[in-house]
Amino acid sequence: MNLYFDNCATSFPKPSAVSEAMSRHLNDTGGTYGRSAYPRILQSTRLVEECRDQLAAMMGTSEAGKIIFTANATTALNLMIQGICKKGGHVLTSAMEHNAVARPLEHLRKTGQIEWEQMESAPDGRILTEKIAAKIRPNTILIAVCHMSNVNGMAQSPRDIKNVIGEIPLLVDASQSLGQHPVEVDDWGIDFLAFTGHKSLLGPTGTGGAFMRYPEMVEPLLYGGTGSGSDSLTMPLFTPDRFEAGTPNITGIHGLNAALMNRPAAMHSRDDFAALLNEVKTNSNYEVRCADNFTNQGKLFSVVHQSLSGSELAQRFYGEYGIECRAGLHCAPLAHRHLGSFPNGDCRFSLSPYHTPEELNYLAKAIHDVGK
Amino acid sequence: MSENREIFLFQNIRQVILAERWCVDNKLEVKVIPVPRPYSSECGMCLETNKSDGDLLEMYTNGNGMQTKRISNH
Repeated sequence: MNLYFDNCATSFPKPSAVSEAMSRHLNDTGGTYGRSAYPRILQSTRLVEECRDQLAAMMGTSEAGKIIFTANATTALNLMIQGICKKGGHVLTSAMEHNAVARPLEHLRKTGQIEWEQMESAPDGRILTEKIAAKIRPNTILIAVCHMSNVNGMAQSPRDIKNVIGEIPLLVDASQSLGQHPVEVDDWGIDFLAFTGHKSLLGPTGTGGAFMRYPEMVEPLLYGGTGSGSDSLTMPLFTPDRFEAGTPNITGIHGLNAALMNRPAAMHSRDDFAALLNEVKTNSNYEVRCADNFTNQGKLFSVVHQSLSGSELAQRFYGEYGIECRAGLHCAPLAHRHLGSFPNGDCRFSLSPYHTPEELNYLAKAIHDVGK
Repeated sequence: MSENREIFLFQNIRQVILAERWCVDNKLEVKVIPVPRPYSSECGMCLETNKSDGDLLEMYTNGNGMQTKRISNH
């Protein structure tokens, strides 16, 4: 039985092709990215570019060359936030931001470079798009939005937000959503997007990256060798090279590529998940943190018990039922403030496509029994 | 290097790989080789192809916004 319900932290299991591809690269094929032209390197380089193209298809952009690889979404977010905000200004965010967005912004605020504030939101954190315009100032330089909350699973509508903000750059943190929820970078007008490989994309840790429609707005975070323009001591001006100094995580990218090529069909249906949520909601001892509208619901939710803390819940779920879940603030204190669960946090469950309806039923029963 | 071959230098590695893929898909004979010593390039790889296919490849690279350098006699 698969009782791992902490897929928001990192997904498990992965498709078997992921470890096979990584092992093959480490043990058999080897090779770095670019740098030379012998077959071993060429094979590895082709695969990195294939992965970039697959990511472009996954996020709905025709501009794969504007996708860069980083170690994780946090690195990508720091790169873009610090780059876009380098001249100062005013930034708007959702109420549900992860610290990967909030901390870089707060650092810039504390050092006197920017001001930032939240847009008005519904109780589940969904941005009230009709209220955005009133928050925009002449010096608003960026709108940063967590696409899917890692606390309650509520997904924003980047398209609706972009329709309101016009030319102001929209940065979307798709760490939780890409791979489990539609993302259409071109159609929705997303200007900047951060993603990670090890959550819903089912790839290995150490993979992630950014899409930047306007890379000229961003300065590199890292400077170094790119295998291109090597006669110059300055970074190339073109993407992806400008933002990929140093040898990338080629083994990880082999794994991520394999994950993208071997995406499993979900073993449970959307109705199965809805039934789980509805079952949990029937227990009046819990407050369930989820989207107000199930259409906007990602495959995660949290519960706050009227007397048991999140950590007590998590301990009992594991001790009595073998269920692995996560207690605490999930690195998203702002979301908890908005939802009313700060500073205690809650207990979160996040699903995998590999979970069966029987496993969801088991989880529902465990939540019910522990919450009595 | 045969007189019937020519090389294309590219701005970066991704462009080399995309152009190689296009050549293979369109049955053009192509080889990825290190950039020959007399020429500088934005990256360490370049494409070698038949002279007779050069115009086709150039159409592809121009049409896709790639900055290339085409060298016929090297």
